[in-house]
Amino acid sequence: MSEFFRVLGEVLNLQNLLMINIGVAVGTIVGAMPGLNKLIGITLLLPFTYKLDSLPAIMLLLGCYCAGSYGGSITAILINTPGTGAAMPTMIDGYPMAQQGRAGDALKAALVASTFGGIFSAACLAFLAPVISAFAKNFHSADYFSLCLFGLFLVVSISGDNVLKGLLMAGLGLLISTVGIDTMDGISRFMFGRVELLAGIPSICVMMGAFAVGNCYLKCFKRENSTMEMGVEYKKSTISSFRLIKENFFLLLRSSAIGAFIGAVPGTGGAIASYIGYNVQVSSAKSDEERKSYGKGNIKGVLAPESANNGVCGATLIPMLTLGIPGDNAVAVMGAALMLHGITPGPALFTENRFWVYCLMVGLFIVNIFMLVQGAAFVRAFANVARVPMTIMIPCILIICTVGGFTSRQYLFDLIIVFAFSVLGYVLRRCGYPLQPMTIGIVLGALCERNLRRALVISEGSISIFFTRPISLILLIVSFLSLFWPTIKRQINKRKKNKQNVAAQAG
Amino acid sequence: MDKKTRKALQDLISGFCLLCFGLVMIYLIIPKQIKERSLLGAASGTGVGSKGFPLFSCWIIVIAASLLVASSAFKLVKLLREAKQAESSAVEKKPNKANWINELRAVLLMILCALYMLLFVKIGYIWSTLIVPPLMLLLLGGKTWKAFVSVYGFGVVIYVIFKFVMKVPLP
Repeated sequence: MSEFFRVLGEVLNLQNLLMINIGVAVGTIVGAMPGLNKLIGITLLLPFTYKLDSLPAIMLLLGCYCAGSYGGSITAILINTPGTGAAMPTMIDGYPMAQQGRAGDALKAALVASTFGGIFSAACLAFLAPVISAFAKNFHSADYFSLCLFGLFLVVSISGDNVLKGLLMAGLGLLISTVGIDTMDGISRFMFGRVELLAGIPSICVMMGAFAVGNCYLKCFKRENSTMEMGVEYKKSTISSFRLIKENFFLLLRSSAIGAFIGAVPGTGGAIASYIGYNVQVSSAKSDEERKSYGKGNIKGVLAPESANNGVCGATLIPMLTLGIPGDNAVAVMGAALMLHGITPGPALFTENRFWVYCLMVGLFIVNIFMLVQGAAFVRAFANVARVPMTIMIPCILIICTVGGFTSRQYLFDLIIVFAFSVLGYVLRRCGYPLQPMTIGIVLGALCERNLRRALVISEGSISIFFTRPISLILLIVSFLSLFWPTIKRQINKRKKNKQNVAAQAG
Repeated sequence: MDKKTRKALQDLISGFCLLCFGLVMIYLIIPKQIKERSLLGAASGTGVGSKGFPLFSCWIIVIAASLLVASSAFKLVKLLREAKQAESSAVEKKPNKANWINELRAVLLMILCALYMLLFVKIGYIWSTLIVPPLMLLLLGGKTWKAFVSVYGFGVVIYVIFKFVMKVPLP
């Protein structure tokens, strides 16, 4: 407990609070802008953290990470365009509420629900992470390798309609992670005589290129422009936050728990959680009349998806901090940022660097409180900034990425990496390849290789070690099942359809 | 060519390129770029050496790419056969000009991005930011004075943050 108060004292200084607020503002704006998301927000903020101390840097990114999930609801309610995929269910009831002149109520409901979900999720992280990390300490290298495959395959299986493309990207990500000096044997790999590659390809440059810059090319190709008119009149909320929580406490608790549960599973995310949260809410309607009110401006239809969406935030950090397995792209970038500041996620973090674990937990609580304050005070300003057209945003993003790519190590070569990956990211996305498995592969690569090699050294080269240890075996079975499950499901559905067609023809 | 056929062809070509990439890596680049010492790694008989994991990753690429090529080739043949059968009733479609223009816009943006990165290092942040972002705005259709002022203003903010607040040297 004394350590907790020590961390609280460290986090609550002026610089950290300023960074949290900047992070929250940036996160809310990028979350609100259709076409941008928290992943791009974190990537764009990374260059600004190079010269910061680790604690304010992490607070800045944490603020953006949490508020990015909330921001999507602002444009979903006011402009009928969700800033993120996770805000789609919020739009179903949020926009009709705004049309009825209750935009302020809808926005407040989204804000209160997001804060509730975020705090619930932070509590889950605080209570569950130490337990999982204690369990993970007993993991053998073989178990760890299987766990890495599990995380990777889970992301592959849900990252697109074609598992093969996801698998290809995962392989590419793992391959990219091997560039540089092999830390176990000290042998150089794929360096092509470039000393800049000694420490490997900087994952930050890869992500800046593939996601932020590549996204600009894609926007340019699609001629996307986020200039949108506010079609509804904004009126201030008449409901108090306290009343909202009091009247809908069980709803908020259930949806937040759904979000936290989904968030803790690698490969899932806010979009799935908010859809499930919304569907559970609709199906739990007590009367037909209540059920019919959803989609027509029911405030519960805003509360449920928003609390589920933000319930994901802290929970996605659980596998990342305890096992070193990032659950999604944004968490993978967070993981890379933590490593950039000398914090290596994994079970060891809980014994050797407990200070940082507490900082993240305390930071999450504070971020959510400031999200509530900023959301209540500046929601209209955020909505206006989010309407900046893409024609202006694209040159601005390219300026940040160029400056950020160069200033990380002051190498021209890093800019070449940013550019090369921006082109690669654009081409791959145009061809329908998901980038998420590649990112996870890059982040997991080193951990995966180290444990594979350690396990094989212990077993003297025999791969039976992966099948004789129960944890490893279970993880491998689940990994391969999750990988092939979409294909199996498609075949089952196809057969069902064929049977129905035959029955219909016979009938 | 309809959307489905074009997608299958795209998958076939991209899959084939990645298959070639995987094979080139396995047979040409890995043997040349990773020289294992005889006393360590795989040669010692205790486990995988430095080549092991890159090879493992490349085989994932090769296997997945082979399956992708096979499945998309199968799909493509099926779609072409179906298209042939319906050929008599099909109306000849003109190539989509707008798509090519958009593609060209994206390529031009890439060129401008590369130019900005090059000028950033060669002539410095201030001059490169004065020259290239306006060209990007012209390409993207943001020709209003507000757009120019916003981008230049943003450039100034970034300069001040990096140079004076963070004290990071910019070229």
